[in-house]
Amino acid sequence: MAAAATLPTLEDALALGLTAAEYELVCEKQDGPPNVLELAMYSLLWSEHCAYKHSKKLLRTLPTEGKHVVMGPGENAGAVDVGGGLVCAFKVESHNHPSAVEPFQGAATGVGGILRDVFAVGARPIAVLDSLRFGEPAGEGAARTRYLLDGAVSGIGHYGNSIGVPTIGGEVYFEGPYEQNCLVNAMALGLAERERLVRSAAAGEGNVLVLFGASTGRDGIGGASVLASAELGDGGSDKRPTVQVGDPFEEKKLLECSLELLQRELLVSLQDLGAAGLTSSAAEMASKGEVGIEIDIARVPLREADMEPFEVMVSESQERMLCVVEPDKLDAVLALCEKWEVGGSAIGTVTSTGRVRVTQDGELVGDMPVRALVDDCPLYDLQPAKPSEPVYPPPVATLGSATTPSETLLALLSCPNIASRRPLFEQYDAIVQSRTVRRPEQADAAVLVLEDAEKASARGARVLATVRGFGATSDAHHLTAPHPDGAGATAAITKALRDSGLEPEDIDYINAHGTSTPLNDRAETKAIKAALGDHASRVPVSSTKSAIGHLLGAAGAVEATATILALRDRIAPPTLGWEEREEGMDLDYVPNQARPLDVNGGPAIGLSNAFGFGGHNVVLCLEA
Amino acid sequence: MKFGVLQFPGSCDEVDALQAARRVADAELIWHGERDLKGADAIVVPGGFSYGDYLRAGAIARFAPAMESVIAFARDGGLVLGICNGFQVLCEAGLLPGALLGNANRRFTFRQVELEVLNSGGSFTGACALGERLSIPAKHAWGRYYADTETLAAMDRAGQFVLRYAGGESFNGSVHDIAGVCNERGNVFGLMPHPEHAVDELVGGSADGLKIFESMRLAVEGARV
Repeated sequence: MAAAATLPTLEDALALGLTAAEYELVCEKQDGPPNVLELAMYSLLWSEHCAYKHSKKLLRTLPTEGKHVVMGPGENAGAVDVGGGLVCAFKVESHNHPSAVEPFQGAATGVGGILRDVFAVGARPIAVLDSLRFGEPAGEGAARTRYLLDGAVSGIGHYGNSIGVPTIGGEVYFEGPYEQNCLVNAMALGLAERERLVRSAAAGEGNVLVLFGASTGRDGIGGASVLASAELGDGGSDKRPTVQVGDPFEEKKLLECSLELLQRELLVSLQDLGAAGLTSSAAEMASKGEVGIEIDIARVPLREADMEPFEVMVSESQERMLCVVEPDKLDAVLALCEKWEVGGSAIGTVTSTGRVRVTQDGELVGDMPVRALVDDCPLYDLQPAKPSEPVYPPPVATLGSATTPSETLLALLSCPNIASRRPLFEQYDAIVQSRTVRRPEQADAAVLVLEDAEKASARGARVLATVRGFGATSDAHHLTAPHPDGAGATAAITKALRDSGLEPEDIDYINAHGTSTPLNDRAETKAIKAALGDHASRVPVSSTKSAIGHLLGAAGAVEATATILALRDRIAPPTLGWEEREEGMDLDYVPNQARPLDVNGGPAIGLSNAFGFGGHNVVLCLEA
Repeated sequence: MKFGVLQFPGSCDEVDALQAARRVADAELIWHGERDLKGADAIVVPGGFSYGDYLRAGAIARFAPAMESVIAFARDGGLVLGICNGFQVLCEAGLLPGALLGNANRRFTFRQVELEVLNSGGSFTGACALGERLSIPAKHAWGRYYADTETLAAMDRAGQFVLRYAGGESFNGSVHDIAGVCNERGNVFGLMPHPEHAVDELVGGSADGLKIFESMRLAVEGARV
């Protein structure tokens, strides 16, 4: 590579997105103007995407710690303890701009990237979800909206389905302002044993850096294309950057290889390659470990000939991971890469210099302090100012008081924000890995099994409670009110008792649906009396909604949990805010104060009621 | 009795198939590069995207060393079940007639489907009744079964149509709504829906798929007697 004669200028720096002040700072950190490679690396690591320079100060004000937080901000994904020695790792990321340009690959690579973040910490991805926003699918921008929607959904399905991770939920909404800026957010959730979690800090002087996965090409070299034109080599080889194309098959092999490497305890640390490719991965691993890194770009497997050193360092080719390996484990690591048919190559070493040094066949082509690259990016304070007028016009109401009920109904049914999402979620495999208990449309949230009973008992897990039985009924009494005599609820309670093989006298506690509405509470009281007969007046009946309200999602699950804890601890939770007894409401509602449950030395058995408009009624019979 | 479940690069439902098979007998994974079928009494070629569906779905997997052994195993009368991508592999390997084309609706589609048992006398549906309905999930983009008229007529005569999508439910447009077929000898069976995903009512609401694994166990143990 040529010497100082071809050093980039301030203009080049500005074209790459650095400010004049930032360029000055870079020159200071480098003891002189940076070369092409160095400028490219700074411009990427100091970009908004990598450095969060306008939001980091705000992000630091958010709470990040908690009793169950195992991995907080700073690693590839966050992780929380979910009990049983298991942790769930998860992350959400947006891929809006790539999806606006090429929706299929933009969304697909969004999923690919978020999956890599999750298995980079050692968790097997068990679910993908997506949150999408587009413009109106009717009217002027309709064709483009449909193009983006179709592409994004197909892309998400293509990647998730092919890699064998179920897409179990998501949302999509359409509103005019999103036409110019669609949102494609991909979330991945992973499961790992707590001891298997791995961090990304590079460590150990002399340890080897191994790059594995797909080969490196010119994918995603965007802003740095300015430099491409400044570096004319001989011949007319095409240096145009290419759009990122994801290959879920490559990532499936990469995933299995990574998890097996971790399972065999062959790695010191692991990091995936995302935005800014090797540049960010190597620099961030070095920064977290407070070490230095040396990379020989001649050892990076390339998919295109004659790539410049800066191109190798900034390429965003998909499906690649970087790991740190002790020298005596290198052969085993490379052998495992071969087994899974992913390329594996030792490309560098961990040093104690605190610098990132890039060489090409022994010649030094770039040398930067790690701290300058990662930690010393200037952070800015946002100066928000409220616009004098709304940025977007308010939505125009299309239904008014003059609209007839049938016109209203038809308008609502045809509204894309209310219409069924079935044509979308049917493109997703929601069941691979056999964990899915509730699929899209079966409930308001997806439900997954994290651990089956056999595994739980094999590790001596403590059973908190058993479901003795349940009763469920469904009727069409009224859109918003239960049957006044609680007919459906009575049937559900009776069925639950029968399903459990129990008598009314066996019930020690009832966690009521108890919404504190005259309609529900009266009907529910009647139902309890009808189903339990004389015993009804002897059972404590309380509503935990009095403490937490009616949750908008998973209310039944949360209240079942409360019931389990009440039974386990033999305490009847109170109905808070209970003030005066109404006519006909004569059960024991455990007013205002918790009290011990008297279970006569036997197991504690309770009912958890969950009733919904329509109505649909479920009663769980639990024993602890 | 032991099931052997093949595992190719890109297979997705092999662990699900392994877990399903383990509900009725022993089961073990067989790596695609291995020729040794580990004494398996029956082979399952699982669903997924082996080799990324490069070239054609199943086109590359059929050349795997393990598949060479499976082809020989099938020629000797061994039981082979192909699920989804596995069905595609078996067609590519010539162990089953016909081919799987792109879905008529031109999309990957995931849907719980109802299957009608057309042939209950064999090794894969022996535990089912003739005409019985099985609720089993299907999830694929290339599941439209096709064979030419002559082949179909011969298959019909020989009772090789085993499962059909009930009530015109096929989103993939398979000829005669065929969901699963077997070879003439009846020891190789392929279907696009996933029985391994219908073995536990908790996870999906139907355990109808277990009958297929159960049928295979009965067939193997019956043959031993």
